[in-house]
Amino acid sequence: MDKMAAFLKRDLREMLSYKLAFIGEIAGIIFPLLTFFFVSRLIEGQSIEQLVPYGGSYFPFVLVGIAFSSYLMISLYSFASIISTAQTSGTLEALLSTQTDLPAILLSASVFPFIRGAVNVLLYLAAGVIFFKVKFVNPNIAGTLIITLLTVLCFAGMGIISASFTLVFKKGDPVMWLFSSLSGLLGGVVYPVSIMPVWLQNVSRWIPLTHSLEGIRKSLLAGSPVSGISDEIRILAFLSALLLPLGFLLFSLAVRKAKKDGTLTQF
Amino acid sequence: MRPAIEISGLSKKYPLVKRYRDLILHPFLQEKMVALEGVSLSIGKGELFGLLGPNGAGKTTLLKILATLVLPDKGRVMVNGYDVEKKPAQVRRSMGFVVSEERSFYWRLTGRQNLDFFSSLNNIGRRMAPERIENVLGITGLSRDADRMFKDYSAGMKQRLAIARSLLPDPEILLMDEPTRSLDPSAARNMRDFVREELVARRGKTVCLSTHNLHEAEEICSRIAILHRGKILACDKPCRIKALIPSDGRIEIRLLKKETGDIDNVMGFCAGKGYVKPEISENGGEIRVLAEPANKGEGISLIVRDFSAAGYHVVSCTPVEKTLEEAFDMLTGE
Repeated sequence: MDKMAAFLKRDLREMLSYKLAFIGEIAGIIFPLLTFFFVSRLIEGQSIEQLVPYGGSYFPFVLVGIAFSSYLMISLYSFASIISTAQTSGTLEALLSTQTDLPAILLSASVFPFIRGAVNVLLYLAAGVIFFKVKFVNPNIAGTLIITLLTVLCFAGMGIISASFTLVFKKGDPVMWLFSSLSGLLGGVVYPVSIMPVWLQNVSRWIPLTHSLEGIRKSLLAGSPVSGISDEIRILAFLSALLLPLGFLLFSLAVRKAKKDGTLTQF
Repeated sequence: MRPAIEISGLSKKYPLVKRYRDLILHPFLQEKMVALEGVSLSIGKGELFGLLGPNGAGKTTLLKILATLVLPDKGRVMVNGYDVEKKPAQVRRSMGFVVSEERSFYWRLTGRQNLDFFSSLNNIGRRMAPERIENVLGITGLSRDADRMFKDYSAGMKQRLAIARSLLPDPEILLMDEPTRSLDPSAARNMRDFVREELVARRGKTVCLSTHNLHEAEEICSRIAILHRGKILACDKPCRIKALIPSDGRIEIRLLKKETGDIDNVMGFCAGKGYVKPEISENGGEIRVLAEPANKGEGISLIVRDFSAAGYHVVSCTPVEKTLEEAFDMLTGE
């Protein structure tokens, strides 16, 4: 806990010292929302069959998609980003010379991006409610939190696999490329999966983000009870149980290879 | 007594990055570059040991292996009795690696905030940390500047903060990779004094430092190892390494000028005695003669007697010592 607190304090101090970047991040939340708000006004009043399971309106659908996908992507990006940032900034060697081993450094350093991501989700939703008059009727908060937690674990597994590639290959990580591009395209972030051709819908079922957003939207926008999202919970629990141990295994192999090749701190 | 560091038969090769052509033509062939080959040495507790060698000699690789950042291919490396491969956590508890790279700090944090962060990673409890930080700031003379942002530190202060960081867990052994590399001559001299007097003499630390500065190694190290292309060419006290190269028989004679007369007078005397290639110069109140006696085996006492008999006042007469630089050049063949 001391180590997590130390990383948290370090990152907070650094973030606040870059004042313009901090303000820019807040603005970065509002602008994509505005874009989709105007798109939603274009199709306002039209009954879109694919949106019915999520309450029928496009803007709440896309708001939840953007807010949560950005959070879930943090799980994917943050681990590899921690490694590559420490390599390029020159701090990795100093970190590894301490009495904390690399997996513990990785997990402790990821606390801040996750907290920042959670704050961003809340800001997204708050901006939707305050500025764009989105209403969440009977949201199932518990269901949303269960799905979010399972997705974070599952994506963290992929993120740690991605960090393993970064340690060994430095750039050109195929895990990151595959999952981020496929998730953006097929995960149902800005349009429902059901509008895609059937074969693409089948492919999208292999993407964790599809199940995450499906479960979160059902909970948050349609107020589904936990029993209504049990399929999504099962799939995400299975993927988490598979990907997390695999991630840690690959990471320990990657650390050994990088130490053997003498490239641990190279980039 | 168990040595602080013991290395036997250490070898390390790094795989070379393949070219696109090799990826296609020889996908399973891996070319390697030798970084260390059959290195064996032992460093005693409380010793100030220098790893001396040109760039690419293998000094940094050796230090990184000791710091558990690189794994050896062959050989056994023990730090404070712990094997670097089998017990890396215990090794890291026993030693502090002074990462001299200034980018290894967080520039927008103060010196104290940086040390606070690294003290947590070194398992120093929250209650102990402020006292420990104050202590290492005091040792390194940074107490007054502790609350300035790191970016505003001078090169010398950054180097001192790197040492302060490595002292946080109070390790017995300190590894330093070219600690004076980016310092001006005055700051480098202060750093050398600090390492020798404060860390080694006063606090009893074992210091293993790498350098390519021969004078630095000679000035502060009790023993040095000359590394060249991954091999140790010599490992001993600097004076013994210098003694490895045979003397050319030249002697240095210093004469009191007042009773000697001018340089021509001395030159005439040397020529008469058959001294080979005498070099004569004036230095303050003295005349300095560098020359090879006609009879190489002629003893110092005979030379002094000859000069004295001719009426010269001999201040000193010593064989010309070879420099460490000459020894280094001879050993490395450069």
